This record gives sequence, C-alpha cells and structure tokens, in this order.
Amino acid sequence: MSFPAFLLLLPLIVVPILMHLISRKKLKKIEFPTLLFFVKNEVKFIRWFRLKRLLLLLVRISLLVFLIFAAANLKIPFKTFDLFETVIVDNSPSMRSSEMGKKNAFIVPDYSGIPQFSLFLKKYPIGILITDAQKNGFSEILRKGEKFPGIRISRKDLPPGNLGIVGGSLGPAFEGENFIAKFKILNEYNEKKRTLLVLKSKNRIIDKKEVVLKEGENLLSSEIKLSKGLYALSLELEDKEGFIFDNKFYFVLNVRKKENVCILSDSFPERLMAALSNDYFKVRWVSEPSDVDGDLFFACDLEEQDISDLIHGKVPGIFCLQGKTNSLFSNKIPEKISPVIEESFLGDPLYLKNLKGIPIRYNSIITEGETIMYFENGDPFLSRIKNHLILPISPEKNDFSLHPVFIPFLFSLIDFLSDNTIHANVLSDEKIVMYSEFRPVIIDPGGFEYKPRPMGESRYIFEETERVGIYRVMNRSSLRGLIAVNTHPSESEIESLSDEEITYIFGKQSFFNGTSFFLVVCFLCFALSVLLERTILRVQ
Amino acid sequence: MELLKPEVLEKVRALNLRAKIVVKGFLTGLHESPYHGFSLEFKQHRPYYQGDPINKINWKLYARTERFYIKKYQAETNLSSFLLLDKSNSMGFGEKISKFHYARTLAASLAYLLLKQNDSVGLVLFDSDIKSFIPPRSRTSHLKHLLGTLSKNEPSGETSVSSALFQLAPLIKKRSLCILFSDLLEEPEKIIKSINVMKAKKHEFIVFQILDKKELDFPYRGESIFKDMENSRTIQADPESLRVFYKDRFDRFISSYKNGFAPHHIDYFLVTTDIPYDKALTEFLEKRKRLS
Repeated sequence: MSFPAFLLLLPLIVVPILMHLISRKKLKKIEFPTLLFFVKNEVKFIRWFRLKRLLLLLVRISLLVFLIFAAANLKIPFKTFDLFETVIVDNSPSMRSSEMGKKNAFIVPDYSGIPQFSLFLKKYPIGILITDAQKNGFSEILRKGEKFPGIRISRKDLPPGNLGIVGGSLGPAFEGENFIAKFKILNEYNEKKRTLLVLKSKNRIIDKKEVVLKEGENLLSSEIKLSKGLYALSLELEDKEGFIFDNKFYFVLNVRKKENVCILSDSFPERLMAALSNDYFKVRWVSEPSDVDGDLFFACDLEEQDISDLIHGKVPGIFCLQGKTNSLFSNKIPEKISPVIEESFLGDPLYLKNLKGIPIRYNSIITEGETIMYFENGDPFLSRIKNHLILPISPEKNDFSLHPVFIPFLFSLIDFLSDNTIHANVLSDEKIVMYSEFRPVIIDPGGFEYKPRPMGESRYIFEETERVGIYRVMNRSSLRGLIAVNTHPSESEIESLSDEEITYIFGKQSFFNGTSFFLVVCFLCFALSVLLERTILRVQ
Repeated sequence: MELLKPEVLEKVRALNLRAKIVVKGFLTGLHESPYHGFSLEFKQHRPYYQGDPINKINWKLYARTERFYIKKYQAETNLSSFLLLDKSNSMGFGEKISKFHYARTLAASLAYLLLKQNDSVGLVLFDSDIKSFIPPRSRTSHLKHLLGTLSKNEPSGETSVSSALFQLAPLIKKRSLCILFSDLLEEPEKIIKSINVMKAKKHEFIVFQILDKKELDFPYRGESIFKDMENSRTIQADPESLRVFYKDRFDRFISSYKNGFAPHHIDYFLVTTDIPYDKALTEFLEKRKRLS
C-alpha cells in the first residue's frame, strides 16, 4: 500500500541546499602576501575537496528524497527475465508437412501426446514449441536472444534422425468388414530401420507388427476389422534412438453399418442413384410404397395417400415434395429462389456450411413439422415429423442436386436419420477418457483465456486460433510453453517478433518493495554522507 | 626592553621618537661603543685599560715597547649608506604590525644610529620601480627629512626588488653601504643577480628579509579564500591540508636566499615582525662586528 501524500514533503530538499549555500558563504577571506607557494597539485586537491562538498550535498538530498519515498512506500517496477536455458526446436517431419496447412488449429502437443510434451516441459522448465508457422519469428528470437539479459538461449535441436508418422488415411470402415488403414512414415536415418508398429485403441492393441522402413517415405497399411462404433485410435512407432515427436499418430475412426437405402419414385431416380452409389450404401429403387423397406427411404413426389402411409411406417425416410399440387405437408407456390441459412444441428457443420450462399429454387412450401433449417427469406427448408425429414425440393427435378454440395448434404441427412453423426461432444463424452494431469489453459495473443477441447487420449485441440501470434500454455498459474500460431502455416511471410513482443513473452514485471528498498538506499546514503563528512572534517 | 617590542612601540606615533627609543634602548643594552665597527680606518694607539677586549691588543707594539696598547680607529664620517625600503603591497601584510611598519621603524632606527656616528644616510623607497630617492647626507637635520619621507609612505604596488635594484645601480655613484628591507617575495635568483650587480660596483650589501610569523607558520584553519595582496588573484583552499606543502616550499625559498647570499658575502638577516627591534639591531651589529 502506498502513501503518496508523503511526496508532498519533497520540497524539503531545499533545506540541505540552503545549508550548503550558507556554509559556502561562511568562507573566510584572507589577504595573503603572495600565492606563489600555492601550486597546481594543491589546487587540484582543493577541487576534489569542493567536489566532495558537492557530493555531500547530493547525498544529503538523496537521503532526504529516499526517506520520503520510503515513507510513501513507492513500489518500483522492473523487468526480469525468465531464464530460457534451452529452446526445444521441433524440427520433426510433421513440422515440414504441408498437411498441417489443412488444419485450422494446432494440436498440442502435435502428434506426440501430452505425457511426452509434459516430460519435455519438466525437463526444460520452460520450453518453446515452435511450429513451422513461426519459424521465421523463432529464428528472430534466436538472433535477438543475446540482446536480452536473462535469455540464454542454447539452441538444442532434437537428434537428426527420426521415424515420424507424417500422415495417414483410413478408408470407410464398415461393421463386419475388413478395412485398410494406410500410413505414411518418414525414415530420416541414412539407413533402413526396423521398428515395431502398434495400432491401439486406448490400451487395447488392435494390430502389432514389425516393419522394415527404407530411407525416406514409406507407405504402410494395416488391415483391421472392428465392430460398429467410434474409436480413438493411435498408431505408435518405437524408436529409442530418435526423438519423441511424431512417433504417435492419433485418429478417430467411425465404424458404421452399411445402410440399405430405398428410393421410392415413379420414374428412375437417376440423380439419387448416382449420388448414393458408393461403398456406404446399398441402394434400391421401388415404385410402390408397399415395397419400401431397408434402413431408410427417399420418397419423391408422392400422392397424399402414399405419404400418409409412409409417415406412419417404421422405416425412416426423406420426403422430397416439389409441388405439382398441394400435398399433405406442403402447398404449391409460385417459384422462389433463396439460399439457406447456415445454422443447423445437423451433423458436422463442415458439410452444411457450404450450402450458404447457394441459391435454391423451390415452388412448394412445407406446412407441417418442426423446421430445422430455413431459407434466408424465412421459408422452411428442412422439417422433421417424427423420424422423417421433409424437403421442399425434388433431387430429380431441382438443379440443386447438380451442385457439388448436394452429395455431402445428402450424406448428412442420412447420417442424421441413422444416428451415425459424429458429434465431437459425443466422441469426447462417451468414448474417450482424459487421464493426463496436465490440464492446460490457453491464453491467446489478445489475452483471452480458454480451455482447449480434449480430443482423444492426452490430446487437446486448440480451436480458437484465429489470431496470429504467441499463445501461452498455462498449467494452473505457471507458464508451461509457448506456441507460435499462424492461421495458415503455408504462409511463409511471418512478421518478425519485435523487441517489445520478446520482452512481453520472456520478461515479467516485478516490483521492489518500496519501503525496504528505499530504506536500504537511505542507509547507504547515510553511510556515504558520514564518510564524506568525516573526510571533510579531517581535512579542515 | 619591553618598550622595544614592535607591537608596543607601534603605539608611539612619531617615527623619529620611535627611532630614538629604539636606539637609546639599544645603546643601553650595549657595553661598548656602538660606533665601533662601522669605521674601518686606523687612527692611533691608546694604552690598554682594564675591561678592554684582549683581542684588540697590538701584540707587535707590545713586543717593541713591552706595554699594552690597543688600536683606535678613526670614525668613518664619510661612509655613505642607503636604506632601501620595499613599499609594495605585500609589505602591508601583518595583523598587529605590518611588515612595512616594522621595516620602516627598523630603517628609521638605523638612520638615526648611522647619522649619530656622522655617516651619511640616503633613502630609497621602491616597489617595482623607485618611488622615492633621497641622496645620502650626514647632517643631523637630514634625519628629519628621512623620517618624514618614511612616515608619508604606505604600501602600494607590486613587488619587483630586482627591477628596482637594476634601476638604482646607475644612481649610486659612490661606494656605499646598502641596507635592503624587503620581504623578497620574488624569485630568489633574480634578486641575488641584481644584488650581485650592485656588489660588482663595490657596494656593501646588507639584506633584511622582513616576514610575518604567519607567513612562516601558515597557521590558518578552515577552508578559506586567499587573496594575493599584489595582483588580487584569489584561490579557495584548505590551509591545513596545504600547510605541509606550503612550509616545505617556503623553507626552500628562504634557504635559497641564505645559500645564494653567502658565497657573495652579502649579509642576510631574516627578521620576523614579532622580534623586538633592539634584538634585530643587536644581531645585525654583532654580525657586522664579527665580519669586521
């Protein structure tokens, strides 16, 4: 607590000045026959004597000022620097992979897993995980590091060799069928490496095999058969000689059932058949409502009676009601054109957000059910009645079905009805359990604090990385790491970090306790003044 | 004798009276003729009486006559002497009595004494130039003129003894006894050189260096501003810290006069203003006697 009122006493410094001036006036004037016997050396001595008197005055003033400061308990801010003994440079293959550019967020700790990251941070109390995105900025830190007291950077690159999993792809996985997982592994050693490849789901080993990796890139595959469900899988490489980045690869696998889709239409549903002809579905065309069966159906341009029969049936379906006339759930209207709005609870928004801005023609308006998507003009675009969905367009007649967005949109509808939608919260809440003690809090460059979303075993996703800059990784109140983030790593032109930014990142502001600090200074001033006074008195 | 202390005598205003007091007091203290020694020419022999100094006995005459005779000298009435008095500002230094006042009284006393033994006495007052020049006379009435001139002058101007002596040299034609009263605050080499020039003209030289005790002891305390009395230059100094340096330098200064005058047979007397006049005169006369 400060007492600034004491600062009003500062004018008291005139007291020692007056004393000094008065003592100067007291100097005796002596008329002497000659000054022949006063020579230069002694005059120099006199100058020193005068200087000492002046010094004494300054010390007395300082003593007074510091006493007032001590009474006021002024706090003195100063910059200190954390000691960055070691900077960990992630020069692993993933950092050079262009695959990273496809993501909008960085995953911490990349693909290596929290425990390893924690291990590093424990070993090097504060480390910096540098991504490719801020490589330029980092080299700037290295260059400027010597300029900043307290930052002793001894760059410690990770070992040159490594086995790194730089990518992977999984084909569609269906219940009861074998599917193939493919991985791209980089061998950076100058020789072939024999290693153990382990595919795990939590602690359960799904596949384990020894492989020989040639120099450079290796494409490996693993044939797997799993029951229906969501899996958090990890592929691990054992390489004791290498470093630990990129020796783990996490991915989520949705093993699903192949859907039997029935299309009810008077004429051959050419466009729907084409859209649904892939590994995910078994598609069948029927013209009579009584023939409808399977897991779900598409019904296009039906009579009212047929609609009524199907809506009360057990098979879920999608009604496409392009208005020839009024129907049970729609009325014919003059043709309108409008895009749909983005917000929807249907599955992954990645699919649906592409609908935004696409003009869709329609000439019927849905009159029943719970609307779950709207046109921008407020008309319903998608409604639900029980386990059925109603669209005011027919894929066979509307040009919307020719748009590339149509197929993913169709898949979203089918996933919604068959409950195959991967909701992130479902994945994390029901399938994956976090066990790491490291629960980071991220502070973005704007100072906003948020918790990263747990994603798999010891894995987090930073979703709010729109801001370019340095993100602080905090564990409780301690800084555990810094992550340089760029929204798009493919951008090569990164602004160098300014001196202020470096000070901000590395430095921290502390305060001296005003009273004790100033009292110490006062004591020193007092000792100095006594010393000066004694020497002056001794000379006199 | 208490009366002859400078500070006491200074209370007597009239310089002629002061001179008389000095000489009378001085004579009272002597057991033999004060005039002895000033004259150098032999006049006659006289019988030895008890009390006469034995060394004055003429042993050669004793060998011939087997009687004791002592030599008797003719009082030198034609001895010409000059009193050279430095009247520069530095001579004005002194708390109770200034160096100038002391030198003036001493000079007046000597003038009185010399005139009393019928010597002719002249007076020169100078600073860096000659300010007054009174040619020597032996009349008793001349004393009045001398003392009047001495009384009228007060210290002024800058010192340059050497310059004044060079100016004086052509003015003194006759072989003379020159008695210099000055603080000699100038480079010793210059002064010694200028006196030697005078000596080369067969003049006898006696030098009284008049100093104040404070100049020798430098007893000041506390930081002070020292002002040069002649050129008004000032300097701020701490005397105590300077004392050792000062005294050392001053001692060397005096030594350089002592050592400089001795080889040239120049009588040198260091007199401080606290020494009674008679003592100064006695020392002077005794030394003269020894030399004669």
